Amino acid sequence: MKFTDVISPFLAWSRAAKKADTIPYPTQQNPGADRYRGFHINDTSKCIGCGRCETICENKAIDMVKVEGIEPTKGDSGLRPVVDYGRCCWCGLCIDVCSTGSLAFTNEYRWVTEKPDTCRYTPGVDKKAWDNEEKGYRQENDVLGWAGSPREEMTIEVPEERIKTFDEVVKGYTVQQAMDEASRCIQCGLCISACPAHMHIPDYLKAIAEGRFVDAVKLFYDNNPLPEMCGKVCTRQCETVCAMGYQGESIAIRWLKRFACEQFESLADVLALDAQPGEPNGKKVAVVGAGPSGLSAAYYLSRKGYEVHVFDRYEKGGGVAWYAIPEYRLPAEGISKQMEVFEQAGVIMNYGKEINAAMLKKLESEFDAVYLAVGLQKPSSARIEGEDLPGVKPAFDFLVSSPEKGEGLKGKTVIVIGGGNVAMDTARTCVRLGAEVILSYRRRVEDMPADDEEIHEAMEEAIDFRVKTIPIRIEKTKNGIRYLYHEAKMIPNPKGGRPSPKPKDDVEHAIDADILFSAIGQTSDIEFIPESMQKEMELKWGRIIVDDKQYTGYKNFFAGGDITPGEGDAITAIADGLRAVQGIIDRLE
Amino acid sequence: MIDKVKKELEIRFPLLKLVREQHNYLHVKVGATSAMDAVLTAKTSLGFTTLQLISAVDWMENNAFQVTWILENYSEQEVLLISAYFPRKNCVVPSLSQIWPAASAFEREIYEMFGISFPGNPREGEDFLLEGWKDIPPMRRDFETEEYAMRTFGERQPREHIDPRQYIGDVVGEWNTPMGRNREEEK
Repeated sequence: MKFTDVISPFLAWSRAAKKADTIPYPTQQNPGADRYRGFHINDTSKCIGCGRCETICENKAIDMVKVEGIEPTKGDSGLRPVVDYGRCCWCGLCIDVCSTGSLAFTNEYRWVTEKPDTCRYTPGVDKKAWDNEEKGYRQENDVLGWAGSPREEMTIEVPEERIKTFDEVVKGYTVQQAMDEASRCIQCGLCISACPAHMHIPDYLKAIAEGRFVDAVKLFYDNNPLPEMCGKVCTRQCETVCAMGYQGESIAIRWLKRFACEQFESLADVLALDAQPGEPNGKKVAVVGAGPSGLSAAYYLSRKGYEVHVFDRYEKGGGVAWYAIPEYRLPAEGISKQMEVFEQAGVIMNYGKEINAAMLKKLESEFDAVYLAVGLQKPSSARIEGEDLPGVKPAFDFLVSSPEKGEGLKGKTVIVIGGGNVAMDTARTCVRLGAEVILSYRRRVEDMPADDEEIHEAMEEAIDFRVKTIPIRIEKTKNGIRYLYHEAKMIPNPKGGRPSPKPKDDVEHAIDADILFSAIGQTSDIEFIPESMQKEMELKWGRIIVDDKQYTGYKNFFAGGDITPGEGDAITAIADGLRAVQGIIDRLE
Repeated sequence: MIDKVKKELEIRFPLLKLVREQHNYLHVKVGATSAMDAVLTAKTSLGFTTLQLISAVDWMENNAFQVTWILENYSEQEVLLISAYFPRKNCVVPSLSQIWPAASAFEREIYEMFGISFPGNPREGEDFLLEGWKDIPPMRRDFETEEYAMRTFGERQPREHIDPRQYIGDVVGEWNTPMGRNREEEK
């Protein structure tokens, strides 16, 4: 017997006072590693329900389901993922591809349940002990390069060249670029919820990605008869909610729509039988105003078999899109190409007919229904001293007068007041005509209602932005006018929203100029509606209040577009037209 | 120090390609026929006596498997990765289990997951993790996980499922267009 054999039992006892190497379960539990792939958590306020996690899951462990308390809204499907742990293999693909980064793993891995069917829950909705666990595998966007494929870059003419002409600034995609861009779409459909007209965006993006451009155009025309115009100047609410936009760049939906339309010389030929008048049903509808809203209603009513007459005071259709949006943003050829489709669909155009009270009475008696889509025509007053001086003009009237065909403004100084799209269009048009342009706006650049792109492009075109300037008055000088303003400070709005500008001090700044364009918005002009009719309709701030089918409440009168309160963009006007079609059909049948 | 290792290897294997180099880390790529020579040279002459891991990657589009031996020189705290590409069809790679007994387990795992055979491994073919696996090796890229899951575990009854794209369309009335094109038609 060796000496160690005798002593070893006592050596073992010497460990009795030491700390154990094992863990005293269950009073103490062994946590998972910091990046352990345990049970899921989901920040439901961040999750948009795009279903990407479900699509990627190879084991079909994830389902998108309705959740109590989360309603579908603009940019959120209201659905949330439920994970089946009988099938989950904890590969983490769902977390890697999550559009918003809301889904994550915790390092919690213990859960005992008797029935396999109950081993599933909706992370973030069904409360679990690990909901606030900070450790666990998370999306590492910078490592994985999830945002990966960036948006196809659009070719835009350089500022030095584009200010010389009225040629279109945006050059458009090539076929390859468009197909690549469209194939970035993940087909979640969130864009549909944001588009006022609810266009079939995922479907036409898929069609473009697969090179089926005719199908794409046909899908546009299902609920938007002015796709090329929207492809160029739409406010693209769809892109703001795009799931791809949360961690990368949203799909260029607007440019792709434009691309598909530009592939064809004639849209009427492409649509062929899909844009024919319907079987006549003997009913007549009058549409007042050939803008986006009026045209949309006219197109679908005519396709439904109604005899539709469109009346417009101008010599061509298209409304403000045609008259007020300059050539470099929306060339005239595009509009006439789209107008052909309306003629093919049997819409009867009556141009150069301004509707007055007497004529409206006549329309009321001659037609079964009337759709008022006259838009906003009267420029708002700036309410400043001297605005009736000869050098002061409304910007809207200037844009409508086809300035590119008129004489130039070489060597002149022009002041534009306002921060909306009309102000940008006016300023940029004046630059192209050779003028030196100063743009005055009361608030900051970020408060401007104009499209960011327009603001950005205007800045590139050497327009002198004088933001935070409050107009005081305009004075007459020997050769032109003098514009006086206060510098402003921003007073934050306690209710949220844009801050209100207040004069910083009493100092009066002055600019001498030749012309001043005021572009502070338009108001409605409803003088053409007889008093007796106006009394029957509900009016607010000169706009007509309508129900969800665009019905005014007076006989068979419907209204839509900018004459009704709304967002004031083309796609909203088109959506109004679509609703009016439904309203008119319901009412006349 | 890793510089010296790199130079030594470059002299012996002129066709060697450098993948990545750091202060105590070197990753090289050699031809399939020199792979064993390179690994054994590293062990016998360069002090990389520990085999940490053998790994494989399926490069289906290049029709090749990449096998990587990860070796360690413990005294110098250096790591050497030697990669080689082997043809994907009936892939055969020499076994190292006679040199490092630990290699046996890695090779069995790779055989099971990728179907790469290591002749000379006495335990080749024995179940490692996937007891009773009948399908093609699951880590091969031509293995359809989703199809396998459906075939093996079936439909997800009684679970409900809603497609976000269709659901949004229904909620906002996307298909209630004046012309009433319906969704089935689009399909």
